[in-house]
Amino acid sequence: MTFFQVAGMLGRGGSRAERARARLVAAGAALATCFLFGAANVLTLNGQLDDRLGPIANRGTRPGVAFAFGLMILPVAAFLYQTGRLASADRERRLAALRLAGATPGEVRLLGALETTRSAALGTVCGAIAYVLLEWSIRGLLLHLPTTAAGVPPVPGLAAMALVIAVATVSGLLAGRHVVTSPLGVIRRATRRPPGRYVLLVPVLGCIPMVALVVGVQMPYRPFAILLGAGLSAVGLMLSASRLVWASARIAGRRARSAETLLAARALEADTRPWGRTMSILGLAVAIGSGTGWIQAGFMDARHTLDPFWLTSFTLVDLALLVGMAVAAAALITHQAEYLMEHGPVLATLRAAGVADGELRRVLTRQGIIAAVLPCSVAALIGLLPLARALHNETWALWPVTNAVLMAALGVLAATLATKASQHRLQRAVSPGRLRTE
Amino acid sequence: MTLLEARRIEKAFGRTRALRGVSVAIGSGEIVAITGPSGSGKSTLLHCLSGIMCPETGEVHYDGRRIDTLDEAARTRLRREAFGVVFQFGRLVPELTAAENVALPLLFGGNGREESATVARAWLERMDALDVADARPGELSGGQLQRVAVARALVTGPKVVFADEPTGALDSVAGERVLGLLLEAARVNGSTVVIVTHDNRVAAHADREIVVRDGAAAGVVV
Ligand SMILES: Nc1ncnc2c1ncn2[C@@H]1O[C@H](COP(=O)(O)OP(=O)(O)OP(=O)(O)O)[C@@H](O)[C@H]1O
Ligand SMILES: [Mg+2]
Repeated sequence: MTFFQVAGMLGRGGSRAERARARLVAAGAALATCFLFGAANVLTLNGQLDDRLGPIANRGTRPGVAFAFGLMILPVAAFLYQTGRLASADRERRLAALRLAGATPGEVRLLGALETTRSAALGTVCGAIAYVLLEWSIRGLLLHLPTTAAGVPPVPGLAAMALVIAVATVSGLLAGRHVVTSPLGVIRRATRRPPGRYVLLVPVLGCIPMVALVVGVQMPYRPFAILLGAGLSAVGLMLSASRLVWASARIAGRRARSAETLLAARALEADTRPWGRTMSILGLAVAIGSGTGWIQAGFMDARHTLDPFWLTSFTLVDLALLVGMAVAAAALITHQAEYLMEHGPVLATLRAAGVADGELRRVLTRQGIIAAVLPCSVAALIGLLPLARALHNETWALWPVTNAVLMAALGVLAATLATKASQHRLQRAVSPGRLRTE
Repeated sequence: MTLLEARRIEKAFGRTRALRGVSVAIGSGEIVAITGPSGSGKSTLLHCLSGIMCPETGEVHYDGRRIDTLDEAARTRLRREAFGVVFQFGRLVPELTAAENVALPLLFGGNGREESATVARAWLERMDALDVADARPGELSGGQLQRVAVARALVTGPKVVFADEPTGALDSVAGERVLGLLLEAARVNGSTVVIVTHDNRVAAHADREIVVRDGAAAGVVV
């Protein structure tokens, strides 16, 4: 039997969770393709276009838009990684049979990654078709531009598709690391170690130039220092998300007065990293969203009006942030599904002992709240810092502050909604049938 | 006095008829063993008696009240207030310490953290497991796990303790110890105990043995 025959054979068999994963990987790949096509498309536009297109209309702002499209790959990558982990234990159990037949662990892992690659390839093609159709209809119907000129040039288009498939394959390989297959079965290798405390220094360092700016310290190379500070804060925020989640889980676990909070906090503390990954993206979105508040306030302060160009620009940024947050939070749904699969018998036992379904649902929701509150609040605060500046009319400062609070709330809401979305799985996970399985 | 009673209950899973008209009556304070071959419906009977699931036909009564017609919320409340359960593999929450696992039912019942912890430790001491109070389930042996699970089932002072193969995964020495502690504590509490088991030695500790064959109570051994 050749390697590819085996891969094909494995693709046909598969549990419900594995099929769900294949669909999710395809959806993520489709989304990533659309974003990359968007970036390529914007870069190929020529001349000045309708002002209603906002930053896409101006030649000068187009690279920025393309970059923003590129940034949207971040939440999708986090999503792909998380879905790659979903059901990995199921899949590896099937692959364990191959180990018995003499395949090496490397080959088995490669086969696992190939399954991801296939779903990603399918999703990429669907995404490309969807993008082309969408762009074609927007151009023709809304903007009345000639529909003949191709939007995405073929070479960058194909390169983008190849890139998405490659990223999905790599994330599949990385996700497979967490499971060790021996001929006798599967061992999950979960990292229990809490994330290091020193990463918290990075965002703190990043905040220094910005705080200095706010309090009015004179700085050499000012723009450079601010840029460096903002960059360090953003990267630091992403790096320290896991630590922040872990810290708030620990505090919540110590302080918990109810059983639900205790269960939620301890589950979070034991498996922080998936939450940390999502929170790093959610936090970044919250920080950026909170930062744009100052820009908006500055405009309104200076001009007392927003022209169509800027209105579109701000709306597009907010829209992109919302999409990014939704995609990042969606990764939590798959993580919760994994939690329910692993904890099914334990939760079913609690239920048999008289714990109500509503109480178990609260355990899920509280995981989202405990995980999100600290990273989102810190992110909103960091986002408020870099652009803090003097306004003619100080009342405008209310705008960024309100904006920051709203962004933090949105981040928490996104995480909570994701946990709510997995609640429908609870019923099956804790059914009396689960009392019978080991 | 009869505390718990099943009258001609039937339960099927798809084509499998797990229970085919079982009737049993269990008295207050009695220790009853349910035995029988694998797949005969012992666990299903236990689940029906404890209100975890409802039979399709027949009736289940507890303390003079019909419970199989209650809705899920009411049965949940009944299980919380009057029943305790122990299963084969302990099924403790892996992220909590042994003491926290035992305290969990008290916390769900609205008791404070400190107070629950104190009571939980007292129960661990009775179960000879105080030394592992701060260990996580992953660090415990099978016997220790089951003793913690028994403490968790008894901590609320239930009227009836249901145990499904509580010693099934243990060697005979560890099994005897778990069973001895469970029965002693139940006697002190005045709890009724219903144990499903394969093991004749376990059944020998019971006041009465109910044998289930092919989904029907085939005989009662006193
Ligand atoms: N949730 C379920 N879904 C499908 N079939 C079930 C379910 N629960 C029990 N059964 C079937 O009902 C029958 C009785 O099962 P039950 O678990 O009650 O037997 P048991 O006497 O406890 O067996 P064992 O000693 O092996 O635990 C079996 O044939 C079993 O396959
Ligand atoms: Mg059984």
